[in-house]
Amino acid sequence: MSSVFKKYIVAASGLFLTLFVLGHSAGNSLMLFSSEMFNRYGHALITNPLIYLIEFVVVAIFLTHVFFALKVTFENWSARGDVGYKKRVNKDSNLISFAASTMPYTGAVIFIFLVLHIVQFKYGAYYEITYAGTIMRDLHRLLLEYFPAPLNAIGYIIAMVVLTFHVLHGLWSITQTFGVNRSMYNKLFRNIALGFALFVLVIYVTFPVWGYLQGVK
Amino acid sequence: MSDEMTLYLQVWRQKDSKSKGGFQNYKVENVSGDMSFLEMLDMLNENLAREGKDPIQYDHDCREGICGACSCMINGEAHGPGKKTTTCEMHMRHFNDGDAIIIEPWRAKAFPVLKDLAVDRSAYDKIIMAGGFIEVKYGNAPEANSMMVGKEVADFAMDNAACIGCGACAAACPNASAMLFTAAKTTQLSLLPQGKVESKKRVQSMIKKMDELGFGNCTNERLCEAACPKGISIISIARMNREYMGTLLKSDY
Ligand code: FES
Repeated sequence: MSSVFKKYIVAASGLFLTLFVLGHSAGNSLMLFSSEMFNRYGHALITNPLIYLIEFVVVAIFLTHVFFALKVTFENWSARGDVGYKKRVNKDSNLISFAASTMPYTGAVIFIFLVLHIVQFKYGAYYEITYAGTIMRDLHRLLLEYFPAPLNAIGYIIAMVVLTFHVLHGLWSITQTFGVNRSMYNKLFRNIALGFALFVLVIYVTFPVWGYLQGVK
Repeated sequence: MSDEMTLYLQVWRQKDSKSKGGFQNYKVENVSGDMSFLEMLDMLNENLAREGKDPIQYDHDCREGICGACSCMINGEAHGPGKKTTTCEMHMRHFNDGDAIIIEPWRAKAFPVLKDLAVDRSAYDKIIMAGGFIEVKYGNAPEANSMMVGKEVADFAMDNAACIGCGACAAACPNASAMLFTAAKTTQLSLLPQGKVESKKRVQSMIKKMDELGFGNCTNERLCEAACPKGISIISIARMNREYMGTLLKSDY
């Protein structure tokens, strides 16, 4: 498999995961409005018979992304040869190039966060609540127990800052990898990536901050 | 005020491709700001020769920025601190009296060190040999306007043809990837009518060769573009990515 083809796979799966991040933020936003809306949304998701298929596809795409990103990273580390540079500076350093050079590390942090996230929420404490005669999981209660603990909220925020950097490079990089990028669009694409990353940051930081404040009240 | 400088160099010395190598410290005096970087090294080498020591081996040829022979990582930057300049074109006025300068060879698995600062860049030639040429005989230059090429296209092809194959892109790339070189060499041909014919075969075999030679995978870090003495843009890489995808989807007929 050629190096360029590996890029296509990482970029395509990354694009899918970016859309997942976006969709997930929309679902999460319901927590800000009402606990019932949030719980009903969660209930609708997990009682849908297609959920297993969807979960499988998401996990498969995620693992594909991780696998190829790791493969590329290890190959790249060895491509430098046995002796590295004593000194190397970035001739062009900015936020996006910082994001680019830290991709494997931000990726690793996100991976760890995701494992914890799934353990803490999907397989976390199970409370029940009844709306109009239907018993469903009260995930909202778990949120209000989780975020008021400062360490949880801070950890979540740090993970989201890291995610922002990952998405920032990833999104611009997709335009390059799929050859959509042109000289005249390059700036535009970089600004779109920057705007999108900021959006991800703001929306995902809102959740822990909101949850923390709920606990303080 | 005299503009003579004293510089403290740390130069990578390596006897041959099999030896281990290490840094050596040298003090160079009376360096004028008008000297090129290579002239400064020449002066040091003359001193070394006079002392009966082995002069520092480095690559150079034209000394006017067109052959791509000179190289060197100078204080962590490919071809030194100048923008769009080769080592031979870079003047010592970029430095100040008393500066310490670290001079290293290109580092990439595909560019093994031969001696001191000279590396074996035949990997780039091998990429060219895999398809960076036109096999069809086109005869003499065609009648003007008999083959229409858009101005932007011709300009972009020319920008890519400016590549001198010095290796700075792979040297500066954190992944030691040769994508900018390969992109420039495919782009300059694929855009023009004479080169278009073989573009599918060319882009596939050149990328294949590039991977085989042990260059890294491009991760869009843009440091190649910043290091390129000819200012070739990563847009050429985007173009090659697009062309390569097209070749996977398109049939020959
Ligand atoms: S010696 Fe020819 S480009 Fe520097």
